[in-house]
Amino acid sequence: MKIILPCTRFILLCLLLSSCKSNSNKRAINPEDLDKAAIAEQQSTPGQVRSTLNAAELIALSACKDLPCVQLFMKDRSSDFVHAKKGEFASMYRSAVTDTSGKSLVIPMSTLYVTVDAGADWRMAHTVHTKTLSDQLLQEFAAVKFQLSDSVYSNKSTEFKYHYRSAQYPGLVLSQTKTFAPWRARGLYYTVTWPCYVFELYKGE
Amino acid sequence: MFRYMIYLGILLLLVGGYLVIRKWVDQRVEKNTDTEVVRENEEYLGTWASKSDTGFTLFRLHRGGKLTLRLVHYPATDTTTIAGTYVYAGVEGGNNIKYFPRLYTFNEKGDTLFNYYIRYLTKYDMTIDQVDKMILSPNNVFDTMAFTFYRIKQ
Repeated sequence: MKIILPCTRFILLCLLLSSCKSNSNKRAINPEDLDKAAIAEQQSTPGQVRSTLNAAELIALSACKDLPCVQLFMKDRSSDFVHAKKGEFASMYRSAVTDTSGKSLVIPMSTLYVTVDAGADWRMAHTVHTKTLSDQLLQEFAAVKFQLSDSVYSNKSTEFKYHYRSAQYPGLVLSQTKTFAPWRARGLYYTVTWPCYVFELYKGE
Repeated sequence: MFRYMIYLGILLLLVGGYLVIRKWVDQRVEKNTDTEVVRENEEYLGTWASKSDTGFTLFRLHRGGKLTLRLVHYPATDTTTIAGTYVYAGVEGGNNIKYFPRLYTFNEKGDTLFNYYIRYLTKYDMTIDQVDKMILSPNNVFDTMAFTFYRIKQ
């Protein structure tokens, strides 16, 4: 009995002390530490700020002629792009894109699709989903002296395909087009209702 | 069998007693220190603040629906204080994204101050977040504009 009473008191005291603690209140900060908290959060969530591949990366990728080469290249960029399905990469950053009917869709801002069908011709297309990003990417190519050299009207996609060449990269041809059929019936592109800007870069065309 | 039932009864009594004592202590602490002691499923309570290049916003969601909102618009240093009420709605949906909880705030005249979705709220037992966060957004579209508020010491 002599032991039970102090023990009970001790347990009650522990209960009282533990009940004063609140996990949420413990995680509060002072107002002057707001900047620090915001910076710490930014650092702890790296990536996902890039919407597209840049011109230098597309030029480097143009050397690839098969999926393993592209996979290896994109592995280093896995914080920004996800390999969603075989041969289908999509940017992690998603945002609202307005389609032709004015409906707002939340989709990845860009994709990189490559040929995976046996026997099919090699094709690698970087599709950007807003005009702003497309113009930005074109400007990056313009910075490395890619200039408009030709334009081709495609009956199939009823769009113009613009070809750009640069003296700095002899043999490389950049083709850019605005289309509603960036890659027939695959991944994100089964029912396309928004304008897509497709960038393709090949050697020796 | 009867013995185990007794043990179970004692255990339930202990847990119940603990919760009752905790609630009583919380109420006393809140009354004496004019703060909110936040427990499970009431993580929205308390003081939240956000700072940006254009201003500083702080609001306190009191227990019982009272609201205190403080705003500073840079480069001025004057603080505007607004007293009002708030409604935390939509929690009945649980984890169903169709029932995003919303936070409505009103001034004393009943005019709406803001009406936002609570896109994210640090859970009571969360161990990942070092600081409690509440992310408010004008809509429920992912990856679009949102305001992050942090829990402030009271």
